[in-house]
Amino acid sequence: MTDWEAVVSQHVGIVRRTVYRLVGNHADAWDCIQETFLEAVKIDRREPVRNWPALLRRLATVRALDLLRMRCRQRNRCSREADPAQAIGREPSPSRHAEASELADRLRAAVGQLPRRQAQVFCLTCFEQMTSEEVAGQLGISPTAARMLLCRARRRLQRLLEPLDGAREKDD
Amino acid sequence: MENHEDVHQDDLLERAVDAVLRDPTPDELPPDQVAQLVAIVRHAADQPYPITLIERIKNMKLRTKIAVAAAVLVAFVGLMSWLVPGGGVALALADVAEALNNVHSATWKTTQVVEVKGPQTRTITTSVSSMFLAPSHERTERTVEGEKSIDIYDGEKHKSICLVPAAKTAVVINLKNLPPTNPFGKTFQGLRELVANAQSGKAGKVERLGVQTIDGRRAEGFRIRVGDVEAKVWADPKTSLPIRIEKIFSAAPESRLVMTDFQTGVDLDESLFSLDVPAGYTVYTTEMDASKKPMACLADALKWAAEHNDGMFPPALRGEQGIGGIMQRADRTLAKKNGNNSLEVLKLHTDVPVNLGRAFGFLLALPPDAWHYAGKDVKLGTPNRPIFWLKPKNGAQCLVIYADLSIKEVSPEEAPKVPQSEGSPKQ
Repeated sequence: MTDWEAVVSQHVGIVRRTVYRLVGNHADAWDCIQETFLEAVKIDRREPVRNWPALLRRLATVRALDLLRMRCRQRNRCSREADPAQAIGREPSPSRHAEASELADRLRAAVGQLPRRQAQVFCLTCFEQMTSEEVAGQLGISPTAARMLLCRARRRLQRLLEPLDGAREKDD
Repeated sequence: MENHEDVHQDDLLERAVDAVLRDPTPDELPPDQVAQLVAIVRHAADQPYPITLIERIKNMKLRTKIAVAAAVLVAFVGLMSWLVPGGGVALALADVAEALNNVHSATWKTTQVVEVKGPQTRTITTSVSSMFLAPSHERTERTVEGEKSIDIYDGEKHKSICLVPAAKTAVVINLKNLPPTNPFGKTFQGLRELVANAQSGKAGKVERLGVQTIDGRRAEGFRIRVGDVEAKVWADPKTSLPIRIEKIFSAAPESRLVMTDFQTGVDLDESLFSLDVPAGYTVYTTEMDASKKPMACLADALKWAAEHNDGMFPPALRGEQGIGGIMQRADRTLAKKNGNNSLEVLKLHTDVPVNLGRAFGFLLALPPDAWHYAGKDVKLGTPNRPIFWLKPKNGAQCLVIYADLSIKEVSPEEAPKVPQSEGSPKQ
């Protein structure tokens, strides 16, 4: 019998950080946190969980990416200009116009445009700092496949980030 | 230049990742929100959660998914090769229903094995030959202990006769108040209705039994379950016509009926289905009201049994102590007094079985614990004493027969609770 109070209390911080990094606002983060733990309940019923932090980070990443991808589709449907701030629904903050924050927003939006598997591998590797072996174990793929997906994700992200950088250089 | 661009883009991506990692995350969740989350998760964990097939597949590893996909593909290819004409059978129960409806004439043989349990379990085997001529004539010939009898039924005239040539006796039954879908239909019509109702989902659960070789012919099987009756219909995939029908009646007494040797399109003379009684026969003519409810039939049979059992209801419904046993004893007495082929014996052999047959035809199709009999040691006419009741499981009204033979509907809460009652006695 899983002690859910203990699981939630111990790991809600990890889940929150993982989710918030990608979705960037409280309301969406709260939804993703709930969905992450509810998904964990389902998994726990099927098989014993050996590594709660790794599982929860994977689930949280997948949930947050689903949200990013949904926003991306909505944005495409509305044929709006890719405004990074609008795209990720970020809450206003004092550092809003700072370059780092803008770049972070741009990356979030770009990750939402990646193929699902590539996005998962990229986020788990770069944001959750998992090794290829850990990512492979979490996603049920081989470490080689994980490395290959990461490589493709990076190339694609580089292309997606380029216009912003190019525009800035022109401005400069 | 290209190298410079790659380095620049790498650097940009690294800066972006770093920016995300350094982006400040707001404070931890407030305690009340954590408590809310714990409550949500606990609630979900307490809920029964059937894992669906789709969820199972979704959660499989890629390798397992591929294996499952391959298995599904193989099964699909197998199914298609089985269904494609030439590669196997493509038979649906609807095809069988249609083929049966199109039959103009047919002959077949039926063997019925009844196992009567008691101190000495015995098995009674009866074999009959039957004929069918459209639209609704049937003739059945049977020989029991060397005595041949012939039943002829005309579904248009709503009339049936039973001839015993050796004894020169005939029983003529005129049916009245038949509903549009004639439940009195004899074997072939009954088979038509069974298959048609099952395939249309009106009655019975259908299950495929696969393919077997029966009498050297390839046959596809269907199992149809209606109440305590299980029928296996084996049909030829080329003609869709039955090759073999097996019916198992699991309610007491257990019996098994097998229909074989089906021949269709047989040239049958109409005179075989004549309802004219040959000259010189002792004739008993009676009526059967099809609108009479099974419970009323049972009440009449119980009344007759009590009248021939010193005014007491039989200790059980069936078996030696039941209505059938009382009938056998009455038969011996009447035969001794008036002769085997007398009108009295004919009457006894007709009226009681007609009521009993209709009552048990209804009761045996119900779940085994749906009815109860409590007539043991009860005198005919005792007021307010329930002797039989039918208790539907869906909370519908109970039907109760009292010792004064009145039949009443009562609520499930008012259902009789006689301690010594026996549910659907299997003797």
